Amino acid sequence: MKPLLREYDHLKSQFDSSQETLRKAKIELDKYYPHEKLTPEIREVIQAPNSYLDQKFEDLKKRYSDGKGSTT
Amino acid sequence: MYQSFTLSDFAEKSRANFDRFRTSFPDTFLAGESQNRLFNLLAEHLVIPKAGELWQEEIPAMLFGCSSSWAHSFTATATGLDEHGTTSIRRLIEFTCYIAKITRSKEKAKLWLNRRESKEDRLRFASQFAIRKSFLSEKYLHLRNLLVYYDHASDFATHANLTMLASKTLDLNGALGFSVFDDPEDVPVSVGERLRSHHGYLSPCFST
Repeated sequence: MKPLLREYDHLKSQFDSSQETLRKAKIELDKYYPHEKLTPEIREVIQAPNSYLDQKFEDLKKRYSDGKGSTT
Repeated sequence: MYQSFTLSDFAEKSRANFDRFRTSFPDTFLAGESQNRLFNLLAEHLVIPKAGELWQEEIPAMLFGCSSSWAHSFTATATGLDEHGTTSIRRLIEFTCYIAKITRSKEKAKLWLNRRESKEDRLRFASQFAIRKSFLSEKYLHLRNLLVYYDHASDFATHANLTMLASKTLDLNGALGFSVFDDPEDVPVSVGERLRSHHGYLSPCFST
């Protein structure tokens, strides 16, 4: 399928270069929030974001398969 | 218990909070601008839909919805109004999920457009576009992180419940109080959270 985006390569390179600004932001925020200042919950999320999200997604799927649905 | 304020005070403090964040965390602010530029590029310049292909014609408007939601989210969060920032992210996730849903489907694009035309359309839309329920299959695996954030936003920001108010509480010499703005100490980590998850919102748009 042809992508809808024109100049896809240009956009992709912009996307990739934006990672550098994110890296600098992370350094800045790490200075402001030294590790010991963070709550255990936030430390857990930062240390293993993928496993945290995977677990949350599995919880969500289970809730819907149990017929409980939205909590709100 | 909370301190009363005028709307002018509110507007002035919002602006002052935003400026303080921008000058105190220049690299983090720049990263937000960088993401903003990407959304702008996506929404305003780079999409060329095929005429007569309904789902393609709808996507530019939906990408604008993504872009404006990102801008609202970042500015509100940096201002110390994380609940609005999170609610805007929830809307951004809706647009992103709906883009995934209508891609290559004239019928679904039509339903997205006409969802309020009749009771039948409302019911069909509610069934086929329901976030989270209709996005749990393997087909939408790339959206799974967004569904988790959506769930989080529903609990902690969008709806009128106690968890939404949790981030607004103050300790006033032992008494419970509320503040319109977030604790300044919490603002940078909230903005960091916006940036950390940005990839999840952009990537599905790229793969359209």
